Amino acid sequence: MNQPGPPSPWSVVRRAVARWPWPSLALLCCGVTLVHSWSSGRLQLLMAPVFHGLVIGAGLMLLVWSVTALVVDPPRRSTPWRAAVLVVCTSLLMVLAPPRSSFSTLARYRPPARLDGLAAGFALPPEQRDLVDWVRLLRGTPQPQLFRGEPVQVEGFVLVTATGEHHLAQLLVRCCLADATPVWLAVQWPANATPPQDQWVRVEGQMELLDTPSGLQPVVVAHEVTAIAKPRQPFRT
Amino acid sequence: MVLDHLSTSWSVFQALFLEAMPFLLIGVALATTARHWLPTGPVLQCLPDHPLLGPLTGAAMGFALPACECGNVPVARQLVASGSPLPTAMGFLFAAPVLNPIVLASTWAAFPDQPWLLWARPAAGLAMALVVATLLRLQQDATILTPNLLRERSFHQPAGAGSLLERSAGLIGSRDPAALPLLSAGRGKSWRLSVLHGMDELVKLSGLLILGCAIAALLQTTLPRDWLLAVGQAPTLSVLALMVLAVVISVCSSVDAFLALGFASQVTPGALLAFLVLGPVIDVKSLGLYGTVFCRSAMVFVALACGVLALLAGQWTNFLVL
Repeated sequence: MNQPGPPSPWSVVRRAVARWPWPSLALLCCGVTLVHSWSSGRLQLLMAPVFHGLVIGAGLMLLVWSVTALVVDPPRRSTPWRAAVLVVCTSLLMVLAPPRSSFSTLARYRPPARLDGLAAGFALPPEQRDLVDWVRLLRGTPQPQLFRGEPVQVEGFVLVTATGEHHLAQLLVRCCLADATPVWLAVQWPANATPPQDQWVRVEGQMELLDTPSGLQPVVVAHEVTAIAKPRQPFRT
Repeated sequence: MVLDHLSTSWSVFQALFLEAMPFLLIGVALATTARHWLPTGPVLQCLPDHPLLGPLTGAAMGFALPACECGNVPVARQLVASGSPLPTAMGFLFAAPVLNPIVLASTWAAFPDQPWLLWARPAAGLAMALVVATLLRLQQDATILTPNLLRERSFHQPAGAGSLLERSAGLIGSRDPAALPLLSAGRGKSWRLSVLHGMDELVKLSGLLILGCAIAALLQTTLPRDWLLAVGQAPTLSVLALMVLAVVISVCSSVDAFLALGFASQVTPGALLAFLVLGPVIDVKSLGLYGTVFCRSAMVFVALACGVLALLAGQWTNFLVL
């Protein structure tokens, strides 16, 4: 009579792993990821501040839920452990690999933003207008020559278009990066000083108009370009 | 270049997941609470089965339980599992993401100068829910629901609804908790079972949400929106293009009006309406979640039906306005 052989190491490991409280672990990892995204400041790179409270609240609720379940949950076999492993791995990856998006790549695939509903900068002196204020002014006037020669001091990231032009841009976000849309100003960079894609810079110069086949085109003639650090919240809401 | 795309997709994935997870949690928490406190079986079976009253009741429940598409799928699934008539549950599933106070308020905030959208969006959403729920009512439960959901639902069916074999086996109309291990922690059962069941459901849906967000993020960073918006002023093509955009973008219905504001001036009014009506019901991110309710053929049917109805709503609007 054949005796059943000893179980293979793989089946022993599988049986041991299947006994882990995977759902509780998955929710614990997910909660840690949500809270960590806020405490590490990553949330500011990903979504508008109005939604931060929701993420923090959900993270804390997941932590409470998972810890409670770890205490009361006996080992069960019929748990969705494959989905739980996916959640655990994704959560760990999100903690270990922070978001490093190329705003230029993102902006290249998006249409330009509409600026309705954002605070107007008409009353501001020229040097206090930011990039969005300038774009709004230039879009809103049929006579861009009114702004010729005015000083410009704006910040943004370098957007490289599909045709290879280097503009100064900012992203507008209503909810999260998924709905980000860009606004940009054309810039005439100093000779041999065109900054690389995605570099955040402060540009000081003056507004000029270029005569192009499509009409007078506003362009910032940069006198000074300074590299700056990426802001904590790198988009406008 | 490829690395730029990958890292950008990864960031968009994180943004989508972090934004959607709280809403999914709210939905599962509501479903878990409902499972524990709300009556099941006979009481839910008193909800209307009428092709018109059923979806209208479901839509009204959506107004009382505001949730976007990630949150309302688990609640709707719980309704179906608890024995609620299908028209009511489907009315809730398809109308709740549009017909809820948060979505209506955000639509008003985004388009205060276009009052027609304030009634056209909920009206078209309700019409879509009515038609899809009615079409699904014409089919057998077994042909549209997943086997797991069908099994859970069968525990709450009246005894007369089952076969002789099922009745004699005591599987239908059963009130014996032991017959429903972790499947329906109904009234009288402990919070412990409800919480554990809710946790299993949340983990399962989170896994599907991850897959949906990953596909949506990849599409977002590889499919130029300019291609879609380039057909902005062509009546039919613009509606179709914005429908594709709505399915791909996968943002929450409570904020999609603000997103639509970004390209409202570039597209026809009908395309705008189609975007705002279809996106909350069908998108890449939520398709996986629907997989916990519908079998594959029913999902394709629902997606096609919603698509055709959104196209008709958009076309009709363009016909009236343009």
